[in-house]
Amino acid sequence: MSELLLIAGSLREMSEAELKAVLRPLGNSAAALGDMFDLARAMVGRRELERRIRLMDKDSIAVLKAGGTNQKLQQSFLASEAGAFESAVELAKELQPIRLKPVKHDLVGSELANYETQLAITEILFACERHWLEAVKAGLRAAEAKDLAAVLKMDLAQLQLRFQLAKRAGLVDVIDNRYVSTIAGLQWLDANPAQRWLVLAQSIWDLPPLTVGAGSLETQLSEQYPLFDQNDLELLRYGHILGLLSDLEPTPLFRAASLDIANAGQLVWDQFPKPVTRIIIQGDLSIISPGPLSPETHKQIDLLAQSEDLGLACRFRLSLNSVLHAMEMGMSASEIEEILLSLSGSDLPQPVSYLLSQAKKKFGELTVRAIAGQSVVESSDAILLTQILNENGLAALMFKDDGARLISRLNPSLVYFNLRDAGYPVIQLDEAGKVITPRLSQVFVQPEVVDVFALQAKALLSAEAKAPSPDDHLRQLQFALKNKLKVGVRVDMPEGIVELEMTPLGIAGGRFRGRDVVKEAERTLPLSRIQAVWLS
Amino acid sequence: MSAGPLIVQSDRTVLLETDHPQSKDARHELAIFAELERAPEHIHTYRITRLGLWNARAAGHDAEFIIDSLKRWSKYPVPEGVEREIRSTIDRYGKLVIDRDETGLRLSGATSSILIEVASNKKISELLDERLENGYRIKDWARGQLKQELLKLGWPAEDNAGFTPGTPFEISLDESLWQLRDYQREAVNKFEAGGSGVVVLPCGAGKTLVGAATMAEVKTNTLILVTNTVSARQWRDELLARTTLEENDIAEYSGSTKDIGPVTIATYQILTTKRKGEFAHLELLNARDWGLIIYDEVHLLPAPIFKMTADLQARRRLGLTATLVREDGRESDVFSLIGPKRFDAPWKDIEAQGYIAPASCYEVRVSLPDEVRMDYAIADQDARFRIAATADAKMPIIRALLKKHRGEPTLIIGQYLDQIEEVSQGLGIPKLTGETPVDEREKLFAQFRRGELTALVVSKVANFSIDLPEASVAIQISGAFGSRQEEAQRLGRLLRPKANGRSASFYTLVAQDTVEQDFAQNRQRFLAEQGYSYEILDSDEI
Repeated sequence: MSELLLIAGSLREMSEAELKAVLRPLGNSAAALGDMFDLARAMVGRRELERRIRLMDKDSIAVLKAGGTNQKLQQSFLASEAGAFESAVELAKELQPIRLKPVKHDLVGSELANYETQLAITEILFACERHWLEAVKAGLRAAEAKDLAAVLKMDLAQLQLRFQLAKRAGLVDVIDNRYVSTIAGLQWLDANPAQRWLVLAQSIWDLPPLTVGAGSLETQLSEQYPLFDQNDLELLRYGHILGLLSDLEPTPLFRAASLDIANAGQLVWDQFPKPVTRIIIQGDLSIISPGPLSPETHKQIDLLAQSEDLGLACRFRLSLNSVLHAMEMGMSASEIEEILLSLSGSDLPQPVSYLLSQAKKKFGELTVRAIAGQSVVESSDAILLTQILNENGLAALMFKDDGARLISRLNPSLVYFNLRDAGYPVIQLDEAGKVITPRLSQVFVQPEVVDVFALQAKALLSAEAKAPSPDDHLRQLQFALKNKLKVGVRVDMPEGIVELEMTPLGIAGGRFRGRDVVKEAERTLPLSRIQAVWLS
Repeated sequence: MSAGPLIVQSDRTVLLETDHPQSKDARHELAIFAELERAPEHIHTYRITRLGLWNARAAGHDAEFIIDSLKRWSKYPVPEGVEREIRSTIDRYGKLVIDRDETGLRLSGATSSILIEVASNKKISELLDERLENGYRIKDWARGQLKQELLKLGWPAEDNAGFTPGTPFEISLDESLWQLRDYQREAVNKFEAGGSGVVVLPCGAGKTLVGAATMAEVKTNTLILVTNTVSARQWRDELLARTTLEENDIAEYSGSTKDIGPVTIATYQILTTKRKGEFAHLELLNARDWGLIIYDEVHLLPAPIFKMTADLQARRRLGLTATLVREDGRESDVFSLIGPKRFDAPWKDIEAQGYIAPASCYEVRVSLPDEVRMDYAIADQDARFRIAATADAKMPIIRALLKKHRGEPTLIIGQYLDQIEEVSQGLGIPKLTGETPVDEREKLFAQFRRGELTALVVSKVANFSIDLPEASVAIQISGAFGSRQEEAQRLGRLLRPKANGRSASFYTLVAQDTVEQDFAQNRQRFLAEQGYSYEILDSDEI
């Protein structure tokens, strides 16, 4: 252990650039990098040791606790080095099982779970195209989530869960602090229900090798992996919305997926409610499907109408903005008319024809484009520009009147989406005056090229503090207190981040009290401000 | 599960495909526990509410019946969440009972834990007196309020305390020249079976007759609350014409007359009139032993009457309305205080039976001249609606429409008094507003009915309860923002079947590309949900 610590200490003292330089010669050799990172993980110490122990099955833990070894323990470096092995044995004896945290939402799966999940993700992907969905830590911003949840008849937690699933499956990404649908997301929209399910299921299938029997998966995992932290399992988190679990119990789909995940999707497709072949277009501009929509039809309608109510039956509404959106995507008014005629199989109500003629007239009446780093809003109708200038709801865009046009220093896309949400028939143009379609602008914007070594170095430097939960901190502090051990703590103080070496004295009322070893003074620290804890 | 006409959704809405061959049977069962929300041409939307489920339970239907019914008629699996919700909701019914012993009202419970739970609620504890063996004594006046609070808490009480029969009074329908229609009879029967509640029928479909027929069934002293004096007199005339009641039996209690009789018609306004901070005419409610109280246009029930209604829970209450939408969102208060919806008929169904006139609706987009557009563009948000609504550019369109419908009885309906004045003066048509004395109003309406006047410019006073059977054209020049209820009621003025069978025309003038266009879309929602479709016209097409 002492040699490891020596290497770890040296690595720790390196800057990001130096660490990058050390890693680069290792090239892209998975094995070399793997060794290096195994070493790095080992240097993190107790937390990594704990993680590895918790991944062990019942038998291996028993062997470890008895001070023995087996192949699995050796593969996990838990029995490969004398010092580490002793620590692992000690730790295995101390570690307690971690209970699955209760979740606020309903975990009961249903026959329609996959239909509802795919419908929700479809809608999320289209919302990315139609609106400026700002990326926030929780997922979707509350206001936007509320609107989407209302359309999908879901509570907010269920919607956010499906959003996180879409993100996890790589269907949604963040560009310019805004959620956009990725190329994978657009491909997913084109896929059939079985293929769609497979993409989602594969992204969350993270079970350790398990013999699945009857009863709750949680219980089975606890029995076979007694120390395993199930809170980290994505399958438990998302299983019920993919029809794999119901109340944490495996469903027939789960069993099929356990045997052959690639073909289990067929079962999903078979369970899917059969789509309707006819939609109804009404005079109030609403489009009704008296049953589920096929993915192709849903895609067509979502392109030209705003969804209002989605479920087994769906309601959309045509509006000037929704039709203009379709026109921005390259469709002409007559093409839109043709689609509506073919979907409904009957004549269009007069208000729909009127709307299409209005959209034809208004398309291009108001434009926004970037000129010299600014957003320029133009229209041949000067009164319209005056109206926009006086719109209270658009004051945040800080328009300046520049004669025949309005100027804003904000991002053209932001200006475009705000004008659109305020009900103005705006389109976005590129420098050459061509219409920028909302979808293409998402697809072709690629994230900046990532330096894999820089990322690895960064990850290595921050590994110690990576994703520790407040519960982990508390547990470590309690452990240190009980065993009279000194701890290192990283604390977010008003003067900045500081690291202290402390002798724990007590934990109460959300505060940690200890003696600062360096200053030889007693300090009380709010637990909420503690970012990392390590045994020193 | 079958290939049935229903789709049950996770938010507890149920869609009914009206073209489906089994839709009639499914609708019949659905109406027992779900409420009709929208009834456009092809797909009707019902909602399964807690109140609806409890009413079904009160009528003897259990959770199994409801779930079986949904599964039998549903095209797709019934969401499990809905099934669970139905079971747990139904399970809560009847755990608390309100009944009466020789001392008074009491609240008893199946288990003491529920009693303790409800009694620990602050609002409920104020309505209860001493603890009894397995319940509580209820304060004499608190029955209605207690039921309301228990509902909010999710523990609906089974009310076995019964209704005060009221002083008996002989009333019968005089059907020598007419007959109660089937749907009116059904509405009366449903009300009778339930005891209290609301009947929803389209404008012009004969709600007054449902009231009269209910009076003839209950045969008791009756208090009828209406929106205004003109409506009070219409009720009186209708009761005299359709029942065995005579002049002396019917009294009017309004601003101008304060009589009380076995059948008394009072206005909401008089009941809410305050003198020295007190409601001055509350004694009316106890002036007689009323066995039935009818609330006409119950969606307009003013807030103070809500409170009074809570005190009147021992008496049968019948609410009548065409548009149970309240822009203040207090629809549920109507249900909890008057009673649940007992009967509802889609407008287009009644139209198909020929009992209301077919109507064509038009939204006319009026282009504004540049100077008005500029005024609009620089105005603040609050002023924009009024600029759009009162634009002079609407005047030539009104003229053109009057010309187009020359000779047809036409109402021009507006919101703003100065606009009404201008239109009245500009076109030489009499106007009728809130400032017009009641006698003058009655005179103008009578002239209009006789055909001596073919057009009237009216304000919102004509929105409700005004019976102008021959009016067949309405031109709505401005309105109260996005009020769905107002839009429907204004169309309702035209829906009495016409003597010559002609259909009605309803025009709404809307300033193009203004906020008025957005409000118009919202206004039209209720009617669209009833299956009415608006044709959109540019002003130059008139």
